[in-house]
Amino acid sequence: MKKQVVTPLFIGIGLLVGIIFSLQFRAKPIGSGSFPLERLEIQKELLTEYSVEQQELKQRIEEADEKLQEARALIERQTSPQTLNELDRLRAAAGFTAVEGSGIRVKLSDNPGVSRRGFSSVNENFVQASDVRDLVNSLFLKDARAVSINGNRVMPLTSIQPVADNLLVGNFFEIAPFVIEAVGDPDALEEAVETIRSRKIRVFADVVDSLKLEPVESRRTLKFLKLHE
Amino acid sequence: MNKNKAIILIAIIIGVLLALQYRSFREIELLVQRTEPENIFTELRVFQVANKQLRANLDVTKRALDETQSKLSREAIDEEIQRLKLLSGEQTVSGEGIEVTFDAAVKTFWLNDLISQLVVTGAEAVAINDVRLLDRTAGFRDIGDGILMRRYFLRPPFKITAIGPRTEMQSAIAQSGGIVDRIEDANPTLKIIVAEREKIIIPAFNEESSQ
Repeated sequence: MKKQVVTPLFIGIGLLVGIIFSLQFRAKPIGSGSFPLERLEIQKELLTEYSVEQQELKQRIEEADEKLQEARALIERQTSPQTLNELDRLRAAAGFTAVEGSGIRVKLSDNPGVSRRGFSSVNENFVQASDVRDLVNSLFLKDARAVSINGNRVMPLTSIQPVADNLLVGNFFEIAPFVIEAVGDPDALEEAVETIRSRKIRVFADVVDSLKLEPVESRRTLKFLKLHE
Repeated sequence: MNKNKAIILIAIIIGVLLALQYRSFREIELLVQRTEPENIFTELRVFQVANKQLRANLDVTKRALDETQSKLSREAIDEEIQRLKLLSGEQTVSGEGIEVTFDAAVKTFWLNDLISQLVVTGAEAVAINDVRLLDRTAGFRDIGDGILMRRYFLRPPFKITAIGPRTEMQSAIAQSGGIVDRIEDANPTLKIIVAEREKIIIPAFNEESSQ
């Protein structure tokens, strides 16, 4: 009688274990999305159009910026040392100076089991904007003196947003893999990287003896910010 | 006796597997809550707006070049100093904006997600409990029922203030399915109040008070 009860119980447990194993280990990552094809095409066309437009704009901004720096350098030569010191001090405080020193370089790339072809739904195997945002937060928490993503310096008020499985860092469109560089104490910065090791993406971190992160100088017009009187 | 041991062992294995399964689902659920796009076209619109801002940046740079070349040097330098004073955090700043209040602590990544959304919508300065967000104060971590903001320990309620276009910022974060909805979905007991303000004041950053 006891055997009649125990045997089906074991079979039942065996089946349950099998099902759980299947769910846990055999589930395939979502490789691509299920958006209707027509919409995908329109989205891809728009993405390409905006990317091309952005490349052109970036080049024109760089050229204009270079001329502006030259004009400013001319003016600064005629300015008193005190005023120049004040200018340099404020630039440093606002984060508009290059930062050099040792640090780390982290490369975030997708899990090799997935592909970014087409547009995907949210997929834990892709590097998400939130992964990059979390890493940047952890690096600042560990006293990073400066951080950049794919060569773009990021400040605490630089937004990191998803755009069609890629990133918009500030106003700049960036595609995976994402290389994040940070200047600061390498040991502390390596601890910061641990915060995203549990994700299903690939994370490579290297200590770098000498890094130079160029400044960002936003030309954004400040429409609302005033000195408080 | 041996059978009992085997059943206990199997029960433990099932328990562990169920826990792993549950955790795996929770992680995916959280990722979806944080990152699932409401609409891919909304994301593309953000890209379009970014290009628009870059065009505006180009115009500003060109104008700055013309002005720098034509103005008296002192005037150009003074304007630059004024602009840097606003951005450096060394002075108290004010302007229209919004105030977002959380009555309790949340996982700090939600703060980063919220701030990122505010910046995209035009925030020019942000503070949490009057500590201005700068490269010297950035970096959040949960600690018990409080939040560590680099070296500042902040206690609830948490007040996030942002200076910028108040109506746009309010609409962006408080829209249905927006960041505030997502935070509330993930934290059902949390109360979040979003309010537009004619004047937000963000105090100057005081290096010494963070030590």
